Amino acid sequence: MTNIPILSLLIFFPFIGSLIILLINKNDQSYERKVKEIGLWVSITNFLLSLILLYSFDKTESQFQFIENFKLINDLGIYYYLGIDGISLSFILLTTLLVPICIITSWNKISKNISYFVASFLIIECFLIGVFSSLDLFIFYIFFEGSLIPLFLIIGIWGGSNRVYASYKFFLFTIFGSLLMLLGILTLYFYSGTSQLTLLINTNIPFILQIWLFLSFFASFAIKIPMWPFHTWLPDAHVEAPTAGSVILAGVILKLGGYGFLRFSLPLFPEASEFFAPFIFILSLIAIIYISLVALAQTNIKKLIAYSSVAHMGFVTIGIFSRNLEGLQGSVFQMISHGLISAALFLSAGFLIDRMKTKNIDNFGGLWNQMPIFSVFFMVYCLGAISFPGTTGFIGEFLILLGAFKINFLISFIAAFGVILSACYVLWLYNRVCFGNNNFKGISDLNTQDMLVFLIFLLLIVILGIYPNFLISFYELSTNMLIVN
Amino acid sequence: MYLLPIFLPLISFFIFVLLSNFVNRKILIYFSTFIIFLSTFISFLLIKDVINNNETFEFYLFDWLLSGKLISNWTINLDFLTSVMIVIVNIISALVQFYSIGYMKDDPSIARFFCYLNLFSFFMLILVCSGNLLQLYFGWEGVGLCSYLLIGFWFYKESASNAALKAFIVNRVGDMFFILGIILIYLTFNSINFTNIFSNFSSYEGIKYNFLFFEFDALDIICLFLILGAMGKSAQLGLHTWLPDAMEGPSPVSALIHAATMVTAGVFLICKMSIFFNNSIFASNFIILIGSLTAIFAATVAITQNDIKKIIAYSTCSQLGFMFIAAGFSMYNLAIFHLVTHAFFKSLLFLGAGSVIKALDHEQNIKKMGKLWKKLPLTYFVMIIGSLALSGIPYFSGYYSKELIVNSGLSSNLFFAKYVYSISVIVVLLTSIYSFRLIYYVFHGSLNLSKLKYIKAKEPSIYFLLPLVLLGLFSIFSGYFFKDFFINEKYAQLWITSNVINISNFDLHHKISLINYIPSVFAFFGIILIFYFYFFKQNVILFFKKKFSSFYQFLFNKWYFDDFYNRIIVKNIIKLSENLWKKIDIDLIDKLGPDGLASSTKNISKFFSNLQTGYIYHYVFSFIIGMALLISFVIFFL
Repeated sequence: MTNIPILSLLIFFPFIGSLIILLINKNDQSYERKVKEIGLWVSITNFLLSLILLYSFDKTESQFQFIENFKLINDLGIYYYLGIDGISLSFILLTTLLVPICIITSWNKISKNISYFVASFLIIECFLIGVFSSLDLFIFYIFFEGSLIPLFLIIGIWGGSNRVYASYKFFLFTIFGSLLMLLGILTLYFYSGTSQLTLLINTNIPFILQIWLFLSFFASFAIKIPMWPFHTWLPDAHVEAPTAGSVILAGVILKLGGYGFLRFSLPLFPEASEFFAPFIFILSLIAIIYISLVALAQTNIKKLIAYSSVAHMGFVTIGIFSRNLEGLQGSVFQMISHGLISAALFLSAGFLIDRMKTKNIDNFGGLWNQMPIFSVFFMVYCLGAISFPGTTGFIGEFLILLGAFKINFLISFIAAFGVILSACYVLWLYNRVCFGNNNFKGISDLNTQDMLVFLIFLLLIVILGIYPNFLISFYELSTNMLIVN
Repeated sequence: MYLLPIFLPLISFFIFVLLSNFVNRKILIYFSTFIIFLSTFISFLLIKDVINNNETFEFYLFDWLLSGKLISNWTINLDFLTSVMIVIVNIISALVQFYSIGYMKDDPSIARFFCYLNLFSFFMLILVCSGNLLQLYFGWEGVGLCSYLLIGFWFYKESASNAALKAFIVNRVGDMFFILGIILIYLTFNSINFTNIFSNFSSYEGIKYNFLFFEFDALDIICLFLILGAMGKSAQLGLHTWLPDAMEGPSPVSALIHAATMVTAGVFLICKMSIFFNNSIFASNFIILIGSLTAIFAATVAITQNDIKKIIAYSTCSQLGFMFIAAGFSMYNLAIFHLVTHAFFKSLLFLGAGSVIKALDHEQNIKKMGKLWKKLPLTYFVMIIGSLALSGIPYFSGYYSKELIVNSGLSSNLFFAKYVYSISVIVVLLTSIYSFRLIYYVFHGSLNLSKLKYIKAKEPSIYFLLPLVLLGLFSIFSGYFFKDFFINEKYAQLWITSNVINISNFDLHHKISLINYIPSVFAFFGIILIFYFYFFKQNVILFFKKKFSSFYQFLFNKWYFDDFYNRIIVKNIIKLSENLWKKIDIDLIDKLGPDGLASSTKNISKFFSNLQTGYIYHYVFSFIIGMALLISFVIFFL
């Protein structure tokens, strides 16, 4: 098992798949179906591959595993250096799970340029797995930036009516952060002479330099998460993105920022992280309270869920920068959990929008009458979003509140108000969507195929909610390492 | 085997979820009722075992959350306190399910109703059996969820949907404090397991927390947070507004959730953590203060309301205040005793009200009823029993628990004790006034119904009557028969093994002193007042209403709590959120950030090339710049 470069396989298999898709003869009669089927099978195979990864992962090993390391460019010290720990593993699994779901959910909905659409998702998968498994700053940067291109295309080509503005905004924000990070990476490289993470961790960087480097990385990660006040691209991007785009955006792309903080900012710039922690706590608390209030005012269902994502990610940044065991474990869990819950919520929103032909919440109502099965699923997802115990949302937020409490009581206290506010906007949304007296004719409930997808999310949210240790045990040692360092 | 009473409702819930589309609804409903009766039966065996052998059981299921030193498992812990609660939850659930077969007969969503009821019972049982605080919180939120679903059961009514939302959110305010309390307990005692916390209890001393710039003793602040949590669930003053609105749910729900079980979870929590509260003078004073304020508030509001269910709801609120008072006086066993008797007579009243409402085709305004005693003799009879028990008339169940609670104010040393005593005596008087005012308007009074409705009204079916009769018997006898378990020294050991601080051997009952009879006298007095004024001197009441009309309005409008919350808090929050979104997000951040940048980038890129304006191009362009930067840097430095 160990001889197979499984990480490279995971990264490049979808890439090859996307090439095949682009090469298929477009004049073929069954062209569309073939494209979708290939896309689906490739992504499912990749998911199975990642299960093998999960199976052969050694929980008791705190170092990076499945390492692949060779020189990419001679004399430059740039390495093709891959390896994962428990944190990366969790995110890789999340990615490989969500991509096939994205393809299934757009099965009948996308017809324009279908091959590019499916190929975009496979390429996104390739880049995302690359991000989560690269241990060399340059490779990381390439994957990190690369993952934006397909998403940019997905919003720009298959998006809604205002897609141009949305993709512009998305692009401007992210490229701004990325360029700053690139500067940071280069500075770091020239200062220490290496771009390998494992070597960099042992380098002592002077405090002033740490501050600057931290800020340059922060620019990129904070925009990705997104933290207040860099969040305004997200609601627009979500509103315009097709359902599958929203799923992958909320599910994985938003986690790149949090992952970056965990993988680079904390271990490489420990003093700077400590220095900036209060600043980040304030931004996160603003995100939680302010954004929750803004979410309350939304009438567009996708915008509401997008704002709720920002608020939930506020918890993640609090957890990461509380830099204690509970906070870190909580924030990783919260990211995975949010990946599942927000993906499920966007899926439900997309499902509703397809049927009701409107995004305005006030036009919904009374869907219990027509779609009882959908309403049950939607209820469980909403419960996840309000961190109801027994769902994954609770575990993350509880651990984060606990971690924050150790730092400062007030942080935890204010953040806890976010728990109330989340109940306000999410359940109010639920009430406006499912309760009420409207009786829409001809709206069909979930079919078997939808039900399968919805059920996967439901089971994951609930099972990981009542037995979270299955997940935590994989990254327990990795979070311990972060504290030791 | 003793796991069965807890997990049978869950099984029956899953049966409904999986099979309700395939199997005949009726079979499922009968099956579910059978299951819950079975579970009641087993819970009787359990409590018998616990009482006879003074045993405790602990079942470990599996791990829940392990992080660092934090350990919380899924466990079922059974001791005396727990099994009392299990029995109560199961009995009331069983009777309510039986009653619902008749009450919800014509509702097309009856399967969904039973599904929720079973889920509720499960969560409530998990709550009471929990071995650690986090699992208790799981049940705590779970019952809140079921309450939300059941209040909003008739979701097509806007009022029901709003009431459901209100209930959940108001409860969430309490829950937030509860969860902070749990975190504080963990940080103070390094554990959230009840056994560990209680055995390490003395270790907290000297730990102080800084709360909003004040230093607090760890214990005081933990208790404060737990009380705030309990206040939400038990609808105490300030967080009570959801309970009257919750009456939008079907009547059986009100009987089960909003009278007998869920709302008492707050009291249960305080009793479970009695070691904490008993050691904090601050907490004890705070509890009796809150409890007495709630009791008097709810009682005064109840005498002015006209909705039959709302009156009973306010009465529940008021009685929960009594339970808080008992807990505040450190008589936790007495609080549980009142919880038990209250569960019987209050669910009796709600189910009786349900029969009236059903017989009158969903009429709830008592001013529009009247003379029903001829039409509904049995309902009339049990409602009287319930009201007598509620008022605390001697030898009915409520008497045994309530009289002791009121009189304990006399012997307590707490700062507010005397004040609380006088308040509670007044509340006793008000209790019998509002109970018998209700009886008068519904069953006597002048006939204000349409003739047709009056003629059609008839005593409902056996499904209604059996639970009513059983609960009626419990309301009469439960106090007398069960009082020993709660207040007799003989059984004190049971409470000690349940880790509940208890005071037994009340000298109040042994010492014949006139002052002990004051509550009973007041209860009688209230009934006589109602009887006299309503039957003979109606004009006096009208006179008072006019004379003190502003005071009457104050009471009628529930002390303006709802108006205050709606007009000041909710409205402003919504206004604030609109403003934050439109003024800051859109106007400020976007104008300064991306939109400004977008226009300048547009200009720059136009400058470079006016051949293409496609947005993909821009991205690729910049990406290339990025790569070029990287490569040129690398080359330059080598």
